[in-house]
Amino acid sequence: MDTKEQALEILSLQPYGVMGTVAQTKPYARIMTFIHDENLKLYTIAPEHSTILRQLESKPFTHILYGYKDSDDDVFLEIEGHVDITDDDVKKDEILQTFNHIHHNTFNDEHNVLLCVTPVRMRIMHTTQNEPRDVIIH
Amino acid sequence: MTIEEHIRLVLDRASIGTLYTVHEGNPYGRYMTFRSDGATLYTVTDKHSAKLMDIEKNPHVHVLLGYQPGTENNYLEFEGQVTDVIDDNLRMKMRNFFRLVFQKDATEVTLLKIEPSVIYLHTQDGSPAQKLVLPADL
Repeated sequence: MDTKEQALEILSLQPYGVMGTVAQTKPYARIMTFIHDENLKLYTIAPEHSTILRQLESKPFTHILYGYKDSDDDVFLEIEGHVDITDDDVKKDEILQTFNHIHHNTFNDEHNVLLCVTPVRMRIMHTTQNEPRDVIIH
Repeated sequence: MTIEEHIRLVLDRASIGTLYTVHEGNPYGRYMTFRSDGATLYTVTDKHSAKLMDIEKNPHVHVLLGYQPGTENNYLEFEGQVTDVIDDNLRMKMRNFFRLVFQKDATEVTLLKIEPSVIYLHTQDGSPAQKLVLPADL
């Protein structure tokens, strides 16, 4: 299995990640729900007037920790990427369905914005190995 | 139960979390092991680590502690700064704890003290996070 296949497998195991942002020289992070595509792009939603959206509008860059499950032998991803607001009704519907299924909510696409994370660097991390492995993204 | 009691329960249960810093103007996160003393968090890092260099340039940090995917467990969000550890007894106590965790040469690691300015208690029942502004007794 190559690194991209392994990354896709980790992304498929659970839909959660920790998404970091920076605002006024301070770091912030929150748990977010994601879906992904075969090109390793991640998608999530945020309310129109949310803090995270304001932070990303001024600094559209994120660092995501994805897939850690707090076990002894764990593999997870570190993802650095640019964040864009995007209009993709299919992806938006898909992430809303995923979000509502997990959180037992009934959010709709009004007042929510679809965010696309395009990775510039992705690494496979292993709790029992020191050396991370870079994922060949393209 | 009060918010302080809920926070204490998470601190007693959880030791793994994410630590976000600012690296060259961008967010950067990693998983860390934490120990608490009241509202203050402690962790250790290699003296030559990139995160220590980040913190020396910008001491603001953000921690998510106690989040376990797929569970209903509460978790905490800390906004704070890394400050010096002045108390020698406390430094020794924490170093001994982390030595047991990591089995690492004490001369190669440094203790980080994280003093939060605010703690958010996140429950997974859909209600908004509760905010505790520090200082407060925990």
